Amino acid sequence: MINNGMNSAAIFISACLINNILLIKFIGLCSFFGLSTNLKNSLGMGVAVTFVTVLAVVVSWLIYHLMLVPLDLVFLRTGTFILTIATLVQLVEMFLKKYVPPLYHGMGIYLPLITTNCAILAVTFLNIDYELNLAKSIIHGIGVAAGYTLAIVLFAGLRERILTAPIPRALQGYPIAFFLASLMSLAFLGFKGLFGI
Amino acid sequence: MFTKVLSYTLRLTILCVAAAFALAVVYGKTEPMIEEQTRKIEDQAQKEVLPAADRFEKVNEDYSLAFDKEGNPAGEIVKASRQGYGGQIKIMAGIDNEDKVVGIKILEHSETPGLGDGIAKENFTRQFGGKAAPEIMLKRDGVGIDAITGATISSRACVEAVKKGLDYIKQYGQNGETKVNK
Amino acid sequence: MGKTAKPRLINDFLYGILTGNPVLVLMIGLCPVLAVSTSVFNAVGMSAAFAFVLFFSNLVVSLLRKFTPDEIRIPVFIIVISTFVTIIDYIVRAYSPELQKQLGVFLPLIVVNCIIIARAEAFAYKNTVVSSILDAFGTSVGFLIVMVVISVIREFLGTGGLSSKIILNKPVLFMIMPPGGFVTIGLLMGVLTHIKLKKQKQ
Repeated sequence: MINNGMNSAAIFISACLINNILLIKFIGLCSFFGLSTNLKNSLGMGVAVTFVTVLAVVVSWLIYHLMLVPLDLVFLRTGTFILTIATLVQLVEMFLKKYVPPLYHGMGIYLPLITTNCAILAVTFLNIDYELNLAKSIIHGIGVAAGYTLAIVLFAGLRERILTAPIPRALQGYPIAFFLASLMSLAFLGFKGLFGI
Repeated sequence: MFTKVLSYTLRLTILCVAAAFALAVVYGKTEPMIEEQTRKIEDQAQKEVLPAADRFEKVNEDYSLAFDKEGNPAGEIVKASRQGYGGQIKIMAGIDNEDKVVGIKILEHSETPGLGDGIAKENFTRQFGGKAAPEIMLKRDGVGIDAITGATISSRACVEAVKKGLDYIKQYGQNGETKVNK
Repeated sequence: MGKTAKPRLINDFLYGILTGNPVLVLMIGLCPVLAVSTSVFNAVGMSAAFAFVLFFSNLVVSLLRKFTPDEIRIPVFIIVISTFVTIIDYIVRAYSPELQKQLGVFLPLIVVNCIIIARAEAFAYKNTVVSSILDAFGTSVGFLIVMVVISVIREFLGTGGLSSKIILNKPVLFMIMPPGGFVTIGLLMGVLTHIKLKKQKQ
């Protein structure tokens, strides 16, 4: 898929649109369906995810290449990556609580939820699998987070809109949300082959 | 307060050490198996594209020499990749001593299921058998490879990957004449 | 849950299949369900790996509950779960590299599978080892059922058959592509909700 041979713009477009983490790769769906009933929360989550992703990408890449590989401890990858993310989220939480309280309270329960966000962990794994260098890993992370934010914000907008539509009782809530997601996914599939990537 | 922090840190450290130990044990036992599996799969693929060969000697990651049971050169194996429609297409080609393709195998691809993924199927790959470098191209004037209907990009990428492999061999291969060290 | 000892244990098992079905009722752990359900082989393989992790995670978390003060329970869960995820990752790579290739990044992603963390937090941390094991079995079976139903639908309609026994001549490619996954689970949920509503009316 993505490899070191691609330039930054190609990596970004591929991560954000062509292989959108939510709608094409199916990663990060828990928060996608759980949060997107509210446009504002979705945007906030998107921003928080972007922030944590960049930090997580840098730290995990450094840990992997500077510690795990030289010390032949590659099998500790999963554990160290998830602990890194959990720690970062904790630090972000503490930082926000002290310096930006309104944002901290606005995000509420969703802040600790970022830890279990499959998307962030997936990016750190994929950076290793695709054998990307540090700079391209960061671009990849930003691209994925941008794609996540785009998808979740669009989806929230759609979900808010259809609240006024006459939906059969059995389909209300999650089922109709899934159909919406299906249509969005179909639309994003159209990005395949964009710019010959 | 301090004893609490100490107690927590101690517990977590013990747990981490136990976990790391368990993982090291499992890793130690499974790693040789994993390497064996990788080797087996590679070997199988190589035998598939060059059935006449019995033994292979790796020159580098993408290039191996093949020998038959008596130890005579039986051809070469080359790997190459090209960007297809959905991602990189990675192929392995078996070349005989006359620089003709014996067989190819698609190692990796991300082509569209139902369309581009036809390149991995036998009807497509068997077309490459018996063709030399000049014939490795999409069909023109009756010569070459038939592309898959509706999947020209995937087909072309596959063809170009094979061509790339053949070019590589020409430049760096040993076929009795020049030995160029990579 | 139950009132006397015996029904309680059976309830611990049944919870994960029916009233507490992780995917259809609690709506968690969706990622692998959608991504891996393109073939029954993948779905069953994934469910097996999931069951392995859930079983041992519940077991160890339950065993360690006296050892784990409340404040550090989340890091403890994470360490325990990630250990077993790594173990099953290497086991699958060693015994079935094909399955590992199919599952891809979703195998190590089991570590953030909401279901496992949720069961550790909500159940294993507060219950006996036996109950936790039963809970793991039940939830795994519930997960497996959903995975199999969805993957059978998707593989059959999407490729025209199951495990290369092709029956349909014109498969609906849409089904094994991402949008198809969303539609399948949406329909499944819709049908189940409909049944539930009908039952309530009676």
